[in-house]
Amino acid sequence: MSTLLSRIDVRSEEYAANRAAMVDRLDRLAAFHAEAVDGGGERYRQRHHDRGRLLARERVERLVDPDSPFLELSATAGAETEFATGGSLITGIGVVAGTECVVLANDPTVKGGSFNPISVRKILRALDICLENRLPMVFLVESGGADLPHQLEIFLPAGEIFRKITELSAASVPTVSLVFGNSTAGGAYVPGMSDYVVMVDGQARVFLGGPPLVKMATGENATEEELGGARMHATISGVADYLAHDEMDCLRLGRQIISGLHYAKRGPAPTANPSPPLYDPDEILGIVSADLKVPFPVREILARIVDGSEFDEFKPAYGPNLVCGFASLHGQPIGVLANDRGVLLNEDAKKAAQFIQLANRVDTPLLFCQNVTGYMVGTEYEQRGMVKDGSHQINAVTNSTVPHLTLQIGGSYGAGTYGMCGRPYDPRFLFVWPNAQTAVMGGAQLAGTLSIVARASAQDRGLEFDEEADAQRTAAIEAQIEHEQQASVLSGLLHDDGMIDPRHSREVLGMALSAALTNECVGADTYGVFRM
Amino acid sequence: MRLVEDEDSLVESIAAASREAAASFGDGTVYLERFVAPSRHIEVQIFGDRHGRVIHLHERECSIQRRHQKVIEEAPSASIDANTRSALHEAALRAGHAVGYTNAGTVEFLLAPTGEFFFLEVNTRLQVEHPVTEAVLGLDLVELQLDVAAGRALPDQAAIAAPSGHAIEARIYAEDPTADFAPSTGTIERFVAAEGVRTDAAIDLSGEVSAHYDALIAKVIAHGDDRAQAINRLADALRRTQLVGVSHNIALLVRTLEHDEFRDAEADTGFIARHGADVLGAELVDGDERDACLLAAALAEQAARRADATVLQSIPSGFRNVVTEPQRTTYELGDTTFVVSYRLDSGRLVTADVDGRALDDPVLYGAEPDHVDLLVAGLRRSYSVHIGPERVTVNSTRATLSVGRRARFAEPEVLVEAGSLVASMPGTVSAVAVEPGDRVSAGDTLIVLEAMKMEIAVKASVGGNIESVDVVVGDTVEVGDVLVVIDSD
Repeated sequence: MSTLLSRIDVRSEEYAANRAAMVDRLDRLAAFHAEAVDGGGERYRQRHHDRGRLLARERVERLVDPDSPFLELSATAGAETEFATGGSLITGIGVVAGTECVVLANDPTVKGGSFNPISVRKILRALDICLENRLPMVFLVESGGADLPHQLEIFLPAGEIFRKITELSAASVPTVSLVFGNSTAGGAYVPGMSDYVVMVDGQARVFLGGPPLVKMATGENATEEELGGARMHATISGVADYLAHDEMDCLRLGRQIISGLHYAKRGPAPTANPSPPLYDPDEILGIVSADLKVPFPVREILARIVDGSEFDEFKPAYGPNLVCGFASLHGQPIGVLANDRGVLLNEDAKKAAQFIQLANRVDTPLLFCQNVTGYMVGTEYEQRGMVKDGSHQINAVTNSTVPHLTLQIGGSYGAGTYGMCGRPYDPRFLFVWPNAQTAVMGGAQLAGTLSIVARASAQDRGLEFDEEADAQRTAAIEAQIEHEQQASVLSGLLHDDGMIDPRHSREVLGMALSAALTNECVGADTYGVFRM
Repeated sequence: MRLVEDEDSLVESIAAASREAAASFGDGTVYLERFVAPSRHIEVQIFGDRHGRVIHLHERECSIQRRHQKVIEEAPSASIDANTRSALHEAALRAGHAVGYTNAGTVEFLLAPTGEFFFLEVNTRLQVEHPVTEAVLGLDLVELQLDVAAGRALPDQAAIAAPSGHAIEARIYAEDPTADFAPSTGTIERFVAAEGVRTDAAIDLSGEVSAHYDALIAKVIAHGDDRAQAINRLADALRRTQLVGVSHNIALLVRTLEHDEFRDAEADTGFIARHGADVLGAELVDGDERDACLLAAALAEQAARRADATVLQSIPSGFRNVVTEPQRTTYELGDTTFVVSYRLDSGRLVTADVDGRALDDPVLYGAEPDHVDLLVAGLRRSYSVHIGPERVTVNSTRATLSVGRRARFAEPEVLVEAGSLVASMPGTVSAVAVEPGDRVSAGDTLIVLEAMKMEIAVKASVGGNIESVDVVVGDTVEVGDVLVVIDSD
């Protein structure tokens, strides 16, 4: 294969400025992570420990194989919303007894682990990841149920949780619930729908209605242990398959269950001992432009992500704004589509459509590296069929059946977001760097466009245009869009699978690719009609 | 052999010695001797041929003993003057001549502080410690024995050279010096002898130590231009020797060799008892050095787990995109547990501590399942590691530390009834002193077990009534077998 040559100057002022800007963003990311790890705060963590219980993260760390990697998903869910960062649960991909699983763990220190609208989205996304990639689900349950004041945004969407769990089971994707505490009312159906259920003796409480509700409904006086204790469920109701002595025993049983599945991956195995990139991933920080309006050389990024910095470029001289080519990532072959200069022209779109089809022919997963401002506008490009060419790319992306991974390394605007496999195009995983921005268009363009339309409208109706009001409105809209397009805002709302440190890209994508290849990897042979 | 220090225990000691002798040799006859203390053990190697010639091959000193068995032997003796030396050699030759001795033999003496010496016995065979004589004389005593057996004549005494330099032998026993030298049986997971010295071993890389034979499993012999050099070479070799799977006395050997008293040739047969076997036999590595070894063990195990990973093998060990807690491994050393915590970031050691004690600026240069290259407190060492099924062994060139691995998850417990007395070692029940219903006080002897030529009294741990006796005389028991259950008060 061909090796990418790096030409960056790590001593340049530009490099230093870029790096400083990214380090600032990473500091913010670290602060978000700290909020998530903090959970409900020191006081609630202490109270939980005082009860002899493990924190959600401690449970996850003890469930997964020692020294194995763990890829936490949507760690900053809820950031910049009214809800706690983290969404009151942890989700991620971890290795349990040698098997890659999606692990979900309620964080009982955050409002008793109750579900808010963010939690529901995070759970649903995790369950989608289970189904799309055929990853077993291990749910570490301890939740007070719905955060009731927000029931309007929770009740109906949360119903999908239980539906998806049993859909997984129907698809022969194993589902395991390890119940450490409350799992009541609707929450009772998490274990209820799971293939395997373990409950911790003296801690698990699984019932539809607790003592007060039962008293109100039927007049019966019953204890929590009678209604939903682990021992009762393991010996009488059969809701629990295994009774764990304590939390560690519960985790041990969970590992035993996964081990006993002898779960086989359906995708190809990686080649052993892949070479790391030739260049230091830390240098990515100085390569990425502090100002997204300045394009940065994407081959320099790829040289710090793919195996051995090796990249066989396809059609290098045609449609040069979009770089296409084959590489491998942690021993798995991949096709790469990466924006080198933000805008996509007709040739770039055509090249993308062809390359996606070629990758599908050889059952090769695709990696999209987004830094795209959109498809080119203007008479020349419209007349050359920009809509048609962009549609080819979107058609190919949509109907491609190999796993898609999307890494947003810069802007993602307009239909470029779609053609480059943004969230609406269901990549198996989508990760964003902290500098990423996503919107229909940039704040200034959007506000300016609105201003032009308003001015024309006023003119048409012969009204006087209030320049001052327009300036205020334009500034307000620009500020709003500037905020809304930030990675932290979109990631907080679960529009991706997590904001990551650019230096972790190789590991994160490698784990995501391995997860995706737990399912089979077969290319498409049919597409929508390509308009010619 | 029993030491009787007061008249009251005479009868019991004779009975016990007699039982032991009967069991081991089929003859319960015992005899009484004067006890000389403090004393040194000096012995002379003699050889006799079929032509009436008896020669001596100089003396050995074997004063470092435990339970009246030799532990460290050297040639020549460093504690006698020329007159005593020639008197000893003379006495030994006279003994040999008196019986018309043929073959290799050892005439053993006790040397009192006054310079008097007392005849002990003649061992009519080649002894464990013969290699020190070979080392200083450059002779092969087995070859000489074959010559004698073939009827060849021995060389003239005058042809026997003076000892060259100094040689010391240390006996490695499978026993626990910190538990009163209790013999240790089991499977040797690993035995690696040091290079540059002679090691004669009953085991190869691995082997079985059963209760049926002596606890001696290897002997290490170092030769030097002088005694100090021999001591240093032997101590260093012992520090590099790896023996895993059974308890052993290597730490005691090293501490003894490096002890000023031994270096100054002041040690007598009471040395070990005087300094305490538990002190001499305690783990050689302690404090920061032990913590570094524990970290090396954890990192080697980490490397082994990553090498064996079936998925995501090429992702860096312990990768986390959101950092939470470090990796933890718990090890057991005797009754103490150590929790080693570490976090790796792309192979770089970010944090490392043992029980919350941070290691001093650790830098990891490489971790493989059998080898860790680690710098701690400015000192870079190459740790060789062996990962066994239950134990991890680390040799830092200064010592071998073997620790038990605490399973991450406890298996559902096997409960042992409270008040149960269990066998602490495998053996045969030689006496049962109680029956159900008997009233016993703490410390009463209930059962006598015999193992590896030793008698172990199983004593009541608490006072109470005997609820059950689960063995009869002649039963073979394994470690952990319940012998007696006491219904405690």
